[in-house]
Amino acid sequence: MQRTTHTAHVSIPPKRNVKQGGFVMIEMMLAVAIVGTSMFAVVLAFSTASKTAEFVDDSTTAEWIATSQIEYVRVAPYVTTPGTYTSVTVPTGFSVANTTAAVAGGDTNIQIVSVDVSRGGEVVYTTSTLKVNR
Amino acid sequence: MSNQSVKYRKGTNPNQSGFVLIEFVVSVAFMAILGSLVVNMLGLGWELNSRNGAVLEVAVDVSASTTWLVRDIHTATVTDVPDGGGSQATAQLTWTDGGGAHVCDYALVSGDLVRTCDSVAITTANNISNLLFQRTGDLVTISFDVTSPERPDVSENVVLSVALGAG
Repeated sequence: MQRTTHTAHVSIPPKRNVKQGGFVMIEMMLAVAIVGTSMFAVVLAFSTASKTAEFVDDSTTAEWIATSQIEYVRVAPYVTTPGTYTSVTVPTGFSVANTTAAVAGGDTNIQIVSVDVSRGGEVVYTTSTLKVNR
Repeated sequence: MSNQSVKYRKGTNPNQSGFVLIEFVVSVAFMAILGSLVVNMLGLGWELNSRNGAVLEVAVDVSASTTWLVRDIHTATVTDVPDGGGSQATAQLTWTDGGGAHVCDYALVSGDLVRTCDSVAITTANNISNLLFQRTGDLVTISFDVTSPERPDVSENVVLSVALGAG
């Protein structure tokens, strides 16, 4: 009861009404933080979408580069393991490398040829085939 | 209560006089900045969406065009593409299997890659241009561009080598 009386007494100062005091600093900071977070989320979503398109674009290119390299290996004369085959010409920004490995059992007339297609130094597509000496 | 609020609106209390001009200007400026950001983001989103669609479309056409070509060149034993000679815009592939002799022609017909095998024509891929065939020994190299019809800036130049008669 004491408290109620007290509050009632100070709640009507002539020059300061708490209910009309505008925003305080912490409210302002909270608002800015919330708006900032939501904007960041949107930007992040766009960045992911952009990366996905780039990935699809690179995969398409890497796939036909790998196919071309495998086809080249098919017609090329047999190279003794662990030799490599000549690389096919690739678009700017891409590179292709191949390695040969022996198969289990020690047959030297058959080998596994692995093809790695890279974009900007990073391998984006890998495939392999068997090459027979015939 | 209602008496009080009527009083405030009349401006008898200087602490209740609403926004002052500077507050109004600042809030309008803030909203304008936020609004322009949102409009920018919408534009960016639209652009991304359109580009992603075009990239996917091109990827589908690249895949469709190579599937048939690789299969037929692997099967064929003879082609009219000259060995070590110049490039040409069409290719004829011939082979004989259990069903007899087959003749397959590849050519561009208004942006479509058309495969005509034993007089049956099918379109294997769309949005193709600059189709060229070349051959070095048993390696047939096909070069072409796939371009999105809606987005000419989204394009893929394919240079595919396929071994003749390897299948």
